[in-house]
Amino acid sequence: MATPTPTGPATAAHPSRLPWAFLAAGLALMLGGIWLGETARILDKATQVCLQCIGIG
Amino acid sequence: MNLRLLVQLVASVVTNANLKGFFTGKIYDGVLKRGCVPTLNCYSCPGALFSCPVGAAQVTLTSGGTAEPAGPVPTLRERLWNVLSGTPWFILGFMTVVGALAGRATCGWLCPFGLLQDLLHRLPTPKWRPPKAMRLLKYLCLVVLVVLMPLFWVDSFGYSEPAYCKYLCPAGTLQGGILLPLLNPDLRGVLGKLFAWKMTVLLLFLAAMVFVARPFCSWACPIGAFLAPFNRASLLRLQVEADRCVKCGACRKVCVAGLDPVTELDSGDCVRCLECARVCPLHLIHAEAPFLPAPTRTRPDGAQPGGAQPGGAQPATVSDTSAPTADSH
Ligand code: SF4
Ligand code: SF4
Repeated sequence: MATPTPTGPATAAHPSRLPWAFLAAGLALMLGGIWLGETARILDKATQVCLQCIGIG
Repeated sequence: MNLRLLVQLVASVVTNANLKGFFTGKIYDGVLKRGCVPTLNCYSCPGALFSCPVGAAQVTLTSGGTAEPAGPVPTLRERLWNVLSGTPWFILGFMTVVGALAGRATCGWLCPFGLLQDLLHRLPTPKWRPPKAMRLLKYLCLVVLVVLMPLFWVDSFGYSEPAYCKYLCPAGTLQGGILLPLLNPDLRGVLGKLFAWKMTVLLLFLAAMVFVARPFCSWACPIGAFLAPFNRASLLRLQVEADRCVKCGACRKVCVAGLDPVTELDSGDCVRCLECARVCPLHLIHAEAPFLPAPTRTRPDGAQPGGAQPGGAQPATVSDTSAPTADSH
């Protein structure tokens, strides 16, 4: 099969290193969030019924 | 059954697998809720096993940080710590990892609210393609309701609220707002104007889903807005051989996001469902990623690019555009 020929803006190539950089940055942010106790606070909130979510206020 | 539909169903069930919650009216409070899913799934749903990234991000922003001021005026160090600990780094990082890997593919393949929209849109009614400018609304929702209002819209006691959850999110109303009051008489007694507003929003979106392709994803979902730019910067990439396109229109007919895949494939509104690749009679639409094995890269049903179908069947011809689970626009 012929190699796909990307055409138009919808198929513009992106620098191949960009996703890897985002991946590394994302992992670093996740670790930072855990270190700052964010996941524990998420757990605190998510284990109680969120009154705003269900429309009570 | 279509492979994507199967994956969507399994993902929706796994995300909401706290089955006993649906009978007891109690939400799951185990350790899994420390993490979140990359999709819109209300953590006040009795079945939800994980947290919702939109809710969790707002909660972190409204908390304003964790420093306990030693005196009446916070010190610089305390203020700095509050900025640091009041920013949803974990959620930002998690969604960035998801975006870097797959862009909006989680919208097309895993999100329960996306599945609901796909199913309702299959109802045989006339379809409408709204002006494209409306798709910008989701970015406004992300910036104003998810970030700015929880940060700056504080009451006289200095507290702010998760504004997106409170005033807009129809997933919260559907998954928690209906089920929990049904199962808990105490909650039924305190429903008021806000609940009526949220039910109205939900009903309007449900009605729109019948006539418009993924209206909520296109206009109002902050997750979709956050992940949209990653469609141009993720390891997973979609490509269309536009120069070989015979303009049969098959892909446009089935696009769950209401796009024209020949020109809008992998744009910020593409949810990477690959329905267009599934129906293209010439197999001109391809998915590529380092983590996908080359022979099965391009077709969600397992067929090889431009070649045989699984089981040895021949590819569809140009005139065969009736195969998909299509909705017509
Ligand atoms: S954009 Fe749609 S599919 Fe994606 S997370 Fe939001 S509701 Fe789900
Ligand atoms: S362009 Fe293709 S992959 Fe993207 S949403 Fe439409 S049908 Fe799905």
